[in-house]
Amino acid sequence: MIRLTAYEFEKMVGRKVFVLISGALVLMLLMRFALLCESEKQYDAGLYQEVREGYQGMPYEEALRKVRSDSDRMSILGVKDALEDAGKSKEEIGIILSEMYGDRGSYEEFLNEDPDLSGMNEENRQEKSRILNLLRTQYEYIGYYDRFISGLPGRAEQLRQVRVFSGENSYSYRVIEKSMKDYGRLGNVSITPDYDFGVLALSEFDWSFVFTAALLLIGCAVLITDETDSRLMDLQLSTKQGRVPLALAKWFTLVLYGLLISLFISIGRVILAGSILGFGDTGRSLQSVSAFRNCCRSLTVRQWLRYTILFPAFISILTGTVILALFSMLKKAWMAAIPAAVWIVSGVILYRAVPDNSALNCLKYINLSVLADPGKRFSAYENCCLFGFPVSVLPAVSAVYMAAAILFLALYLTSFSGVLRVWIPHVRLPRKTRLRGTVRQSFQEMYRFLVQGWGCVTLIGLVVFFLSQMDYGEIHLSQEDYHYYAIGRMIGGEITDETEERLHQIQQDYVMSERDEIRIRQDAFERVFAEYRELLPAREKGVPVYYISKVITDPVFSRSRHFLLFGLLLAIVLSISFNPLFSEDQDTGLAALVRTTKNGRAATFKQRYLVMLTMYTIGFFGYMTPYLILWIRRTHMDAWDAPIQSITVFSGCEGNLSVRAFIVLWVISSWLSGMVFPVLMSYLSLAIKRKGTTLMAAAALTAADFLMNILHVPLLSVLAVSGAYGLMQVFPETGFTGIIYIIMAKNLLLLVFLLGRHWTSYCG
Amino acid sequence: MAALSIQKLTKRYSKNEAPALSDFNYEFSEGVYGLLGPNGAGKSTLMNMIVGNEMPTEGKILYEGQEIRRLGGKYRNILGYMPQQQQLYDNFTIGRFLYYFAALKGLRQAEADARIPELLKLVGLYTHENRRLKSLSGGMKQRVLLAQALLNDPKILILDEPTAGLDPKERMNLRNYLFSIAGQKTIILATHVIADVEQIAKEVIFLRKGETVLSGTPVEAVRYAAPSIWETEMPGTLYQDFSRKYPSNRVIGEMGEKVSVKIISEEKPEIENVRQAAVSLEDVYMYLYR
Repeated sequence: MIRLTAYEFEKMVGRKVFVLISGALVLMLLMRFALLCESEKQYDAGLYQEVREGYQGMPYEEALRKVRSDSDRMSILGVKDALEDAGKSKEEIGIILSEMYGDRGSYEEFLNEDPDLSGMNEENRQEKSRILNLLRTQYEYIGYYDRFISGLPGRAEQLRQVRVFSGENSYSYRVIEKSMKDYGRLGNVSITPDYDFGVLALSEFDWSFVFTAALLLIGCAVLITDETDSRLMDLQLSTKQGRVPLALAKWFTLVLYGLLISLFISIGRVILAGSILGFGDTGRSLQSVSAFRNCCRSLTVRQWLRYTILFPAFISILTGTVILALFSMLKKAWMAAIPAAVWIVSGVILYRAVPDNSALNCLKYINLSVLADPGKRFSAYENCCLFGFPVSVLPAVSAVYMAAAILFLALYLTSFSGVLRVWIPHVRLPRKTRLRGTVRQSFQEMYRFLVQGWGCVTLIGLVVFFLSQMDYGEIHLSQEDYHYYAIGRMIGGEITDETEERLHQIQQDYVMSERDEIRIRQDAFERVFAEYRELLPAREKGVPVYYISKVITDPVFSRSRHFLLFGLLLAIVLSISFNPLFSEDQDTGLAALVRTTKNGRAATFKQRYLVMLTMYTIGFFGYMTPYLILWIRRTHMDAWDAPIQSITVFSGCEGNLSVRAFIVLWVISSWLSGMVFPVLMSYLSLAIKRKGTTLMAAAALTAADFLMNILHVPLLSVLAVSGAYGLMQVFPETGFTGIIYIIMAKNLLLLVFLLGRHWTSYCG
Repeated sequence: MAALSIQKLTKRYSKNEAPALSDFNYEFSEGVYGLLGPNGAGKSTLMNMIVGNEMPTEGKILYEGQEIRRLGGKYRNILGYMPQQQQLYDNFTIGRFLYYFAALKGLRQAEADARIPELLKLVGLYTHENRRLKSLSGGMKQRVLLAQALLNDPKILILDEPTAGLDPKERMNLRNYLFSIAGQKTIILATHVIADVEQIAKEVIFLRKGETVLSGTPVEAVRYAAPSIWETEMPGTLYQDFSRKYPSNRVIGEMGEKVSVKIISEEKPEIENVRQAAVSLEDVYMYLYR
């Protein structure tokens, strides 16, 4: 059996393109997650631990009192500095602060309680202030959680008084009883504040199981359909080990492949989240992370991390078994792929669309996607209704999946070995009405790309990937963000001589207006003021700069590495699917035949490039659209016409260019430049001939080009084709707006040159 | 005027090596032309230049008096080519593959719809239209390629080993079909199977190391070799000793304890009962490449 499995595995990994697609997908998903972690990195983890140590070992009440006091002290200091900046006299400052903090006594004494504050620079003070605010929230949460648990019996009793919940045979009554039991089992959970951001990043819905399922579909085509089509299956079935042992070997192979992929992804995610963001002490209770306050299971963070690895592994086993059974029963790849795809895609849609408390929530919960969301599974208190009785979602789903896995494995084994024969109606239409082929070359080339070259898989993968990238929600603003945003809107528009005065006015009228919120409003004001000051050098040069909030600009203009990495992945993934268009003919020798036909040269060249251009454009804009939508949704129209220097990272640039013009030029330039890579690969295929080698060479050249920009090699990063994708970092460095035209012209010339060379070699 | 006129055609892949084809001249009109020779004789090089996949180092190929390179698409429009090819588009069905080539050959939809079933019947694949190419045997792939070559009803048909992998009945059908269309077309057929051209070829061309060693009608070829082909019978037990003395021989039949043997020799062999043999093209091939 082991030997048979090894042979089957060799068949799968022998398909270089399949292995390359798998590797690229894993890499793409991990890079996406790494970038997500990078964007979630809001605090200095080292400083957080250092500050937290100051409260460890203290009784809870004392630690809470101290952290509140320290965080208030930071805010008072911030307000004091701002008032000094605004030119207020010492007396005036004293009056204002004494009015605000009068109930604490003298604000000066209060500040002097921490002697380290006076020597701290502004940047460190702001960072420490933010960390103290976070710690304060975490310590306040401990008190909240204790009240939440101790108040459960009282709340349950109150609910029982309500008529709709009072019937002992009602579902609602049973839910109340069950929740009492479930939370009662928790005992005294100890809440320990720590750095939670790694846990929060991992608790997001994980789409990777959809990609693993797509790979398993291709794997089944290799293991079952290819062998059925080539009649090898008949030969295998006629051997001694050709029934159940071979069926099991194929199942093991597919499951093993799926497990490897899912483990690579999930372990990679855990490692990335741990190294980029950190989990804090993994021995603390999961409820210590405030997002998991409703968790009714006694778990540590470490145990929960194990679930985030185990769940995707379990999904891949079930998915592999179901798909294999479908392939074995239905024989034809497309007949098996359609129900498999419907099952997975509809599951995701139902999971995302059905509300938690809907009467149809069984559709939401008895669904593959449930296990792809380990954050939600442990952070929410969930029951599904089973004959009027509440059943915890997780055990119910696990039992259903176990049963399904066993059932489908049995179906697969019996259908593979010929015991079970599924009757499939053989639809054969009369000759006259049979589907006719077409002589439109564009359709034929598109078909070659989509079916022969597995382009459809790439296309579906890209669509799912980009959909998962979309920012569906509104901007989630914290209280500080809200005030930051509000202050920004108050000064929105062109920066003038009056702006600074206006800012100080806002500070007095808005920041100081609500005594309970001064601390938060002041922090928000300081962020706006810092951004305003970054724009001043450009204004001094005579550029009419506008204030545009960093909340709007950062998702697009401060993500140079993000765009470069995704540009690289897009170029490689599209190269894999474009590769067969030209190189397959060279590899198989069919080029010699195609070239002897009337349309086999210039027309074929044009049609294949048309397919490439269409698909590339779909892929490119699929990749760009989420960012452009995000930008359009968040930006006021006047910001579009503002000079590019209004974006703080570009404030040092020379030349006239509006934000709108920059975005348009950047998108066109990236679109144009990205096309260079598939053209280069197609041209290389004429010389290299072998499909796999061509792909390797093209991938290596593409990666080398992008690395120039990712590693930010001076000069070479501008000369590289990917300079267009890395424009966000090249642009502020050169300080010259004309660089965008130079990069665009250089890449256009290269594209025309490569196309010309390919044209003369192919059509000559 | 000859349909295809080849003048002083030479192909050299490298300056230091002997030419793959040297100073080849020929006039092809309607009819079947057999291109014969062992591996490396230059058959594929010649065909690749005729179909325009390779450029000659010297010389030219004219179609109806015009150089084929200048004619470009017009020339390829009257060309049908069947290469020796076993790797096709695996996931295409037979029908899809033929429609794809109909598109490449610029056929109109109605023409393709009429022509494809007709050709599928001709090559015996009508009931297999929806089978994927990767599931076909070598012989079936050959038939698909033949159907592809005939799609545009070409005036010049270049066939490289068209009968490889076909069963005897299919080979006979193909020969009959080629013969039936040869009146209006120039068919150049390269093969190792002499019987494929013996009965239908208007002319045969024997190549060796890039040079033409013999060309003309099959009758002329037979006449050329006839003086050197002898025949005798002997007891089977003596054959081994005989074979050592006359290595250029072939057994053509067995009659009880005796074997009938053909001998290739410029001089009359000193054996009893030896006589001039009735010569076939296969004997000519053996004579030229002995």
